[in-house]
Parts: sequence; structure tokens; C-alpha cells
Amino acid sequence: MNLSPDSSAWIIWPVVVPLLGAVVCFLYKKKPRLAGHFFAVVTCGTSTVLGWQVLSQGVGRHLLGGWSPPLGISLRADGPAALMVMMTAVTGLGITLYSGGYFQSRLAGDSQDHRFRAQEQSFWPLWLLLWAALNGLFLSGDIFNIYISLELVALSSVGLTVLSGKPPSLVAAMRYLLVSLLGSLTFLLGVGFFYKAHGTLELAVISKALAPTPPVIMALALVSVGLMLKTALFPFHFWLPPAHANALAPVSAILSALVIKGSWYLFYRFWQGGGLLAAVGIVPALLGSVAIIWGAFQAFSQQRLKMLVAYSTVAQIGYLFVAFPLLVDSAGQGRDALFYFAISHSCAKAAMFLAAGTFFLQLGHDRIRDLAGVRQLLPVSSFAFALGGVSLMGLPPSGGFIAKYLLVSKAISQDLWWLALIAVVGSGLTAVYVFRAVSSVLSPHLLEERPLLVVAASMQWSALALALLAIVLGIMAPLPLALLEVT
Amino acid sequence: MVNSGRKRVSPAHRPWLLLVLLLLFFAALAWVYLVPGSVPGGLARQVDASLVASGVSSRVTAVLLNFRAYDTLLECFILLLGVMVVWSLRSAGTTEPRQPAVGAILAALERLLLPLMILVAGYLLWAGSSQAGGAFQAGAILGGAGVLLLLDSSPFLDILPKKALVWGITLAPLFFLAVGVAALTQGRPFLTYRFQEASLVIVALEVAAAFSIGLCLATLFAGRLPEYESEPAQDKFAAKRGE
Repeated sequence: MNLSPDSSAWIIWPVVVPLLGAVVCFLYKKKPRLAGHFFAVVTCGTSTVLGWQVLSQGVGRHLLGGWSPPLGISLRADGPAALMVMMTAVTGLGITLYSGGYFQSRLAGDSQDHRFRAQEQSFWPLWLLLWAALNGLFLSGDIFNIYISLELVALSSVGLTVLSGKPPSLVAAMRYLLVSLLGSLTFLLGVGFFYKAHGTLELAVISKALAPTPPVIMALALVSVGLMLKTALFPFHFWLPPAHANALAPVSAILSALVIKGSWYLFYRFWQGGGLLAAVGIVPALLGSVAIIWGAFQAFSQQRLKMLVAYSTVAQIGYLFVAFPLLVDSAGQGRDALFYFAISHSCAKAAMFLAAGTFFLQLGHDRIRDLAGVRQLLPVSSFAFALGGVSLMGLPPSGGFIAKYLLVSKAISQDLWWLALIAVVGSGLTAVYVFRAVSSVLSPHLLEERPLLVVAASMQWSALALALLAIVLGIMAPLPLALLEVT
Repeated sequence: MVNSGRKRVSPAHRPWLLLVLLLLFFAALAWVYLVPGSVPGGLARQVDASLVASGVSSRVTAVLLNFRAYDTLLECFILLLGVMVVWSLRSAGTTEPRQPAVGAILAALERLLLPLMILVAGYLLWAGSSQAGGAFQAGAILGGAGVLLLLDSSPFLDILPKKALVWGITLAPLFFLAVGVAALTQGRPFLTYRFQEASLVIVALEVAAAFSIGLCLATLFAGRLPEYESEPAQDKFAAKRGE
């Protein structure tokens, strides 16, 4: 067997541990919350080891089955992959702690505990499987294997979306499933063309050798469209708001903060070579610009808080794509801007969705008009929501500010003034809809409604921790940026 | 459908337009496919070169269970995921117990076909190591046998102890993980087999995979948790009140 010395075992653990956790939670129905927390913490630990190893020892590879590519599949942990695994670990741990409190509060507060217990029993295995699939996606170096991981991500996301059982969420989940399948199959068709053109499935080889021959152009177009469908970039965003807004509170956060980033990261992986970016990099940037403006207007006109936060995701996805023309230069600042948007959005959006979910649970609705005074009931969650908004707007010293600073300065240095202008205008529009929500949440009115149930402390504090992290990301910027340099 | 009087022109109302667009798309695909200048052959030569070391003599099996065994591991998890999602739908209150259709023809067919199907599944499983066949084909036939049983009045999923069913479904994913982690603990990469043990491990994995796949497919066809009847009825208005 072609045993290679560069097979580092620490790469595979962030995939194996949550996979095992999913099976254990599926088998051990009595205390799924305990098993879920245990495996989430261990996954987080193994992910941290991975991040630390990449930072200290450079790029790592793991040749699965001992076969080196193109025959076998390799996992490859470089800076961007490790950063995404870390992002999933940190946000995922916050969401896990929240979910524990969430199900505990609902089971304690309602007589219908049979239904909630069933929800929780299904939630933990699906969530851990989704986590494993995301880690597998970030680390995989083989495009067919990436397709399988994408399918795992999509199916478990749909399963999580449908958990709430409300009719709107069933409809949204069905649409999400169909769109996701269409995206997967388009991606698979592209994989077939890549295989025909290059005779290999290794991502590193393919993304380096993007020549403008007909099969490669067709393959890249198919793969890109498939991934844009899954990421919900502007013309393909229609499925996202109902699916994200009608899911259970922790599920909304998982979908908006993490799942979207999986397909976006792959889009980056396929385009990072930069060969064809000079010609067509403008297309994702233009779609992203429209998404920023359109998403912000839609967010502003929503009546429900979770719908507002969901449309804000549509707008923020735009930021994840506008920086693609900046990747042409190999200096790396364009890439830094992209990834900083991804990680700070992950923390901030998770915090906002978790806080909005807490409001919903406490009041039984999330009409923005009637939220006035909720800060007396839930001071910590309200503060977390506002802090998340600060990072979305890009106010210093938040992570969102660093991302926008990197983006604007890079765009100006490349004479792409319109791009810098879009980023700044987008910030202003974000401020408008965030203020609309925050002014209602923080208003000094007295609340007339009585709270439906007692909310567990972990629900409030996990959201605040994630929101604080989104702010602190601006101060500790050198660490993630150093990790990104490892390629 | 709502008859609102509004005339909406969508692509669905103009099938010919959709047809033309699809034909154009397929023409583009076909043109690109036929254009020369791609790398011929793919990986076939490399597979042949490493076949001796893989422990089996069938190329497909070598790819599925040795060279790219990680893919197959994830595929097993996709099937498990399917069962998880279908079972979770009960909290949405959409599943109803299926009314079995009992008939003389079905019963006779079942009596004739079931033993044959199990035999064929076993043969396919065994043949997989040297020719076409293997875990997925055998699993599909076992799944078909399960569906046939479910169509008749034999609700074997309800008779089976819940624990046995759940362990049977998770057998292949767990076994795959165990094989992978065993290699890790001995200092080899994930899912690496020692050469002497390769064929044995592959056959064992195939048996486990075929069993779990068959059980998963039959369970998916049943579409509900076997313990459904013993649980309290759903509150139809529950969805309106809470999330």
C-alpha cells in the first residue's frame, strides 16, 4: 500500500467524532441531550487541535485508506479549511449550549412534552450529523467526496427545518429540499465534466488548472450555479427566508450561520485559482451587490423579527460574494476580507437568531411592533441581539468592521470604486433595518403580555457569548488572519 | 387552485418554451461532451495497477470498499440520515399507519419470490468480490423483499424488537467507523486495511452494508416508526400554539 508519511490523524477526528455522536444519540434515546453535549464538546476540542496543528505545523494531509490521490481520497487541512472548522466548532458549541436550554425550557414549560421530547430526540443526531458533514466538506480534497458531503449537509438541514412541524415550515422545507437537490445534481454534472476534462477528482489539481476549454467552462458554470443555488445568492435566494425563519430557534441559527457557509466555501475553493476570475469574477460580485441592496430592503419591510433576520442573511450573503474580483491579486487581502465576513457573520447571525428565538419562546410571537419592552424580560438576550447588529453593521471594533475595512481598502487599491461604494451603502442600509429591530427590542415601554415560560439561563448567555465573540473578533484579528496565511 | 381571475404567465403555462430551453441546454451539454481535447481514460489504468493490493479482484468493489471506502462510509450515513428524517416527521404529525393490501396473488407471489430473493441477494453479495455485484445490489434486493413483506399483511417491522431494528439500521455505519478507527489506533490512516486482512474486512463490510441497506430501504418504505400505534394521538392544534 502506498503509505505516505504525511498522514496526520488529527485531521480525521473532527469528522469521526460527530459521526459517532450522531449514531450514539440515535441509539441512546433516553438522554440525547447529555450525549449531544458530550460529543459537541469533544468535536470542539478535536477541531481546536486541528486549528492549532495547522497554525503551528502548516498544511496537513490525511490519505484515507492509505491510497494517495488520484486513486484515493485525501483530506487536506490548510488555513482556510481550518478556519472554517474552527468557526463551525465555536458557533456550534454556542448553539449546542443554547439548544440544551431551549429543549429543557420547552419540556418544563408545556404539558405537551411528548411532542417536544420527540423533537429533541430527532434534533441531536441530525445536528451532529450536519456538523460532521460540514467538517467533512471543509476538509475534503476530492470533488466527488465533496458532492456526498453536500448531500449529507442538505438532507440533514432539511430534516432539521422540518422539525418544528408548523405548516409553513413544512412547505419551506419541501422547497428547500427541491432547490437543494437541483443544486446537488447540477454540481454532480459539473463534477462529471471536470473528471472528463482532467481525468482526476482531486480538487487541488482541478482548481489550479482551470483552462478556458469548453468542458472546463461548462463544468465550472454548472458547479458554480449549483453552489449559488445552495448558498441562496440573489436570484436564487427565494427559498431561504421562509425556511430559516420558520424553523426551531437553534435550527434557524444553524442554517443561517453555518450551512450557508459550506456551499459558499466550496465556491471559493473552485475559484481560488484565479485563472478565470479576471474574466468573470464580476458576475458573483454584481449578483452580490444586488443581494446586499435587495436583501436590506426586504429585511426593512418585514413584520416579523425572524423574517427580518432571515432577509438580513440574504443581504449578508451578498457580502460573501462581492469580494470575488479582489481575489485576482495574490496578495491575499481579498481572501482575508471574504473569510472575515464569513466568520463574523457566523457569530453575529447565530447570536441574533438565538436571541430572536428566545423572544419568540417567551412571548409566543415575534412581531417587531409588539416586541417593545422585551428587554425587561430578557435583558441579556436583548443586549446580545443589539451587539450582533453592531457587527452586522460593521461598526468598530467588531469583526464586521475588520471585514469591511479589508474589503474597502482593497477595492480602492484596485480602483474598484463602485465595489467600495456598495460596501459602504450596504452598511448604511444594514444600519437602517437593524435600528428598526433594535429600537423596538430596547424601547422603554412596559410589556403588557405575560411570559409563556421560564427561559433557561444558558439560552440567554450562549447568545451573548456569540455576540461578544463577533465584537472581539475585531480586536483579535491577527489570529484568524495568521491562520488564513497557512496555504 | 385559486381562481383569482388574474392571468399569470409563468413558464409552467408555456411548456414549449421550457422544452426549447431544455433542448438548448442538452445540446450545449452534448456539444461540450463530444468536443475533443480532454484527458482520455480517467483512472481506469491506476485502478488496474493497484487492484492486486486491494484484496478483491472486482474493480468496482475495490473502488467502493477500498480505494474510496470513505465515500461508501458517508453513503451509509446518508441512508441512516434518511431513516432519521422520516422518523422525525412523526413530530410533524404527517404519518399514518399504512393499510396493508392482502390478496391471494400477493401472498402466492411472496411465497414464491421471498426465498429466491434472499438467495439472489446472498449470491450477489458473494459475487461482488470478483465480478459485478456487491453490497448495494444485494441490499436493494433485500430491501425489495422487505417491501414485499410489508405490502402483505406481515408487519415484520412491528414484530421486530425496536432495539434490534435500530441496531440493524446502524450496523453498517458503526462497523465502518470501527474499522476506520481501528486503523487509526494502529497508526495507519483512517480506513486502511492490512493487506493480509483486506479481503476478509471487505467481505465483512459488504455483509454489514447489505444488511443495513436492506433494512433501511424497507423502513423507509414503511415510512413511520413501528411504535407509532402505542403512542398518544397528536394534538392537531399543537402546531398553532408553539413553535
